[in-house]
Amino acid sequence: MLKKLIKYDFRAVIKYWWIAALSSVVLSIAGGWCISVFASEKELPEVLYLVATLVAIVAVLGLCAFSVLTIVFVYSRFYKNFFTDEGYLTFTLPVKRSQLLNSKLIASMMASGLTSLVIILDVAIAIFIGLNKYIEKDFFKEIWDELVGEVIRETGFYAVIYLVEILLLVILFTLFSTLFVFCCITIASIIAKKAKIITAIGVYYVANSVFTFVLQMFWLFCFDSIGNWLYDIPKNLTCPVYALIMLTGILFFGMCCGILYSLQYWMLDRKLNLS
Amino acid sequence: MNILECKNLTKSYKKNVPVLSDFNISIPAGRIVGLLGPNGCGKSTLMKLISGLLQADSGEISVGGNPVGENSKALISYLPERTYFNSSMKVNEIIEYFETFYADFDSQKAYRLLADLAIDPKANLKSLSKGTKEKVQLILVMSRNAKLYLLDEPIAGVDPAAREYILSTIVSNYNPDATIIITTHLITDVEQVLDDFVFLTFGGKIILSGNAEEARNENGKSLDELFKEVFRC
Repeated sequence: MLKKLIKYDFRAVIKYWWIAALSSVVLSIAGGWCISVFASEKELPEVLYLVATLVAIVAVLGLCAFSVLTIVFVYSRFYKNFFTDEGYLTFTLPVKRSQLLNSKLIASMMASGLTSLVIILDVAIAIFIGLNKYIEKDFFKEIWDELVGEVIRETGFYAVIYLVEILLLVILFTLFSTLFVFCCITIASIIAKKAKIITAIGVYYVANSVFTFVLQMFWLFCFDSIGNWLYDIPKNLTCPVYALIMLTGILFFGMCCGILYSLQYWMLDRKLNLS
Repeated sequence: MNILECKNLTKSYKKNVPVLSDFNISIPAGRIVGLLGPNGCGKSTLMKLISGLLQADSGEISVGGNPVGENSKALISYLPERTYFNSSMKVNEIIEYFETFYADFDSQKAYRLLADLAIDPKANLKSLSKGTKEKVQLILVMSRNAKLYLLDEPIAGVDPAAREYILSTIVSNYNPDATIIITTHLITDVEQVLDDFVFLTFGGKIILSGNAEEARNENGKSLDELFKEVFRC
């Protein structure tokens, strides 16, 4: 049943998303043209620079709007499917509540992943079109060798560990952010009779401020001591210590995700009251 | 065998104001039961509790021997007061959705009933009128071969012709081995289709229940007249 739920959730999110994705690709092509204008060695008319500047602004804003739209699609699907009249169908399907929640999370992670890939593709398209003339045959290979080769030379086997840890951190952070917003929407839907979306924004603002404040306090008191401690670490221990720090981050976000998931599940299971 | 059993069911939305208090009921299979009572007496809350939309504060609910959950929901076909469609879907997409999630859904029956009403399966749900959406929802609910149909105010707010269509659709399309529970306060319209009735008052107290035919014969009154007598202000 989870697969079926994911299929429908993903389909609903992607229904209009692809239009935004396609638009972002078109904008990236336009952005590429702008780069080519700016990078041109020839003397071009002033008006062309003006147009290119305007198009570049639109392209950058378009890319930002594309990410925002993905977020809007994901969260509006969550809200509508759970807390509007659609909830009468959603919560009477013969599936577990955990499956309903998991499908929303997985579909949103898939949409976020896909959006990230499209944005990377957009940037690559823009660079390729804009700097095509200047890119030499082995340009990308050299860049890759310079960047990745350097890290591997410096860290050896730890490069693989870093890569896995960074991937885990990205996944957990995305999951945490998604769950955080899901929880805010759920709290708002439980406490507010009307204007639930505005209430959700308010709840998010308050919760995010508290969370940020706690994190900043932590850094304020610990940054100095952690910094000094890192400075004193012998060179041969640098790699394992950095790996350990990232592992701590993974555990922290994993714990936060666990808490938010439990809270979200409890609210859906015990506090849900569709009007 | 009882298809539905509720034992000592209590539900409050606000502290110390129970909508249902220590509610008990057993409903056998193969009956059409009218859950009748004034507005706010807990009919819809009971439906929501049975269908798993709400959690009871205390007490037990068993549907076909299953506690409320994944298995009980597979046995229940629930028609809420509201239309629950994702309006960006088409009629045939929502039929596919039901087919995907309900093993007992008969899509051929659904398409046949849609054709009877000349509803285009390719129509967008958002383009349909409220009344047509309600009919589509009823068609979906009645196209399941469920064990228990929960119909919450199926004829409220519709014109007499639509009421007739709704009731005839319910009576001619339900699984005969199944039980139908209909909540309403429009008793005259549903009276003829009911096998049993339950009069519910505030706090979810049952003040009268039994066989509809026997009650009519014993009291020499219709259920509607009996209801008015019991709930006279």
